[in-house]
Amino acid sequence: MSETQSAYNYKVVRQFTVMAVVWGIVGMLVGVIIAAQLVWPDLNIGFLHFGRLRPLHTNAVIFAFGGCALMGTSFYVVQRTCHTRIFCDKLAAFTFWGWQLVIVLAAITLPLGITSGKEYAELEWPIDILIAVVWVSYAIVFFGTIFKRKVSHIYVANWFYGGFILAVALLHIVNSVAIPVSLTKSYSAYAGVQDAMIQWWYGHNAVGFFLTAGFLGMMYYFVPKQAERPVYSYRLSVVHFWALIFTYMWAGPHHLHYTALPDWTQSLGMIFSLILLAPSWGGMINGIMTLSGAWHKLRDDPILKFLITSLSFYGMSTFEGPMMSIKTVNALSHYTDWTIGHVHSGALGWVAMVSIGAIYYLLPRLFGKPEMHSVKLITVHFWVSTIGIVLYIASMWISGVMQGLMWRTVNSDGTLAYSFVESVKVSYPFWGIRLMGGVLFLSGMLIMAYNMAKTMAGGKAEDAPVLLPAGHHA
Amino acid sequence: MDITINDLRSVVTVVSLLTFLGIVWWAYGLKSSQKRFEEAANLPFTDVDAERVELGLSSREEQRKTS
Repeated sequence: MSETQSAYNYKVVRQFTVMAVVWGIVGMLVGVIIAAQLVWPDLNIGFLHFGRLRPLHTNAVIFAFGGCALMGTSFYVVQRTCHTRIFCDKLAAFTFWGWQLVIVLAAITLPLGITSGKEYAELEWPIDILIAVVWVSYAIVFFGTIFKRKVSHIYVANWFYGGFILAVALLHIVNSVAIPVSLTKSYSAYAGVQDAMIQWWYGHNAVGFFLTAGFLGMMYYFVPKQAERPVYSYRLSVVHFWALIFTYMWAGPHHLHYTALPDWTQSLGMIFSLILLAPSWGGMINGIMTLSGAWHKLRDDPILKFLITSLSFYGMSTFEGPMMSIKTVNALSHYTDWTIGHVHSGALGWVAMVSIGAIYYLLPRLFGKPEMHSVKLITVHFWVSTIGIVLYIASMWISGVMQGLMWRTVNSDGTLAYSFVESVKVSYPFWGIRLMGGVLFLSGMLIMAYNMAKTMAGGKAEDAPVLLPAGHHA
Repeated sequence: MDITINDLRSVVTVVSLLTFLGIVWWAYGLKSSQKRFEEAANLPFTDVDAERVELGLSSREEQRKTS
């Protein structure tokens, strides 16, 4: 074996992990800015107004922060559980630099108003093509590594990562089909209600596969590792995986309740969203019960706190989601701040917290240190961000339900009891609380960045050797 | 009787459900699956030596000598 063959490729994992923290701060800062713009409308200056910055926020936190965290951890997990160096270092490096280029292009074009107008798929067609190329190279590196594995089994985390990679490729390519009219403008190849259905088939499965399956892959590796015991039930994880695969694809129509979408399609989307509760909670229970018999570890291990709390938020938001997909509940919640609260309980509570836990696990290992520079600061980060999330989602619940109730109240003659601006006025204090929650969560990320820089300083940064699993003979 | 596209849609749905039930049976019903699941569940814990290197507790050189 050559020198490079005898070690894992940690370089690309380091790059993605560090950039996940950097983009996390950038994306959440933009989130804080737009939250402040809702409180102080005067902050909408020039082209940096809410309408331009909001897609920048969502793209940065989902695809830059979440994407880097997923790509970095998946490259680490797939190498370690397959006992082999990553397939094709050059293509792995291309995946990293290509993804960073996509992020930079998004940061330039979105504030300029260059957008295809599809939520969570705003980027224009030349960038969409670049995303497709980078994504295919990501898939080749990931599945190539699985293909050359030195063990017979494919660990369940890799099933989730693999499902996420395949599904996102399919979703992105189908939803992005468009007719270009210039370099910076294109129109969707679909029209009318079909376009809306494809957009939300994409949109909900971006939640299902990007923000759920991928991060469940993370959960299935880092929770057992940090708890130092195998996952609670491996067979439950197998059923969990296939149940998600069989049901998620159908849930998209719940984004289009009471629209021009046929009624039966809406009901179908609602039914499948309700069914989704079962696999979601199966996965949550599987993760949390991994700690069974070792609950005391939760007391003084802040990384486990992050990981287990993320699962609690996952359970909460996957209960709330099916409930909100019920048409009568949706009639109250749709278009209100309740949706924003629901999204952030999933995004901050589940996605960000499981990523933060995994990154705290990885950082010392990637830079040759026995632990993070300051474990105490991880605990501080945990509490600051938890309080931030609670403030955020509680304020959005209150303002959301209030808005929904006000919009549906009618006078005895059938006219609306409140004008829209009246509901804006009463939402105002809650938008202030939301801003505070966001500022707290962002502060937590800054504490993390400091801790990361200190941990990286003077590290030996040695790549771990590829060794056959214990008891295995070549 | 002509088979229409809607019949095919029903068939796909039923086949999908049966496939899923088959997976559940494979995971929970089959005795022989248990051993392989146990092996797979322990995969994250099979490279203790790599772990020591990554945490800076021993170097790659030392690992090479001992193995």
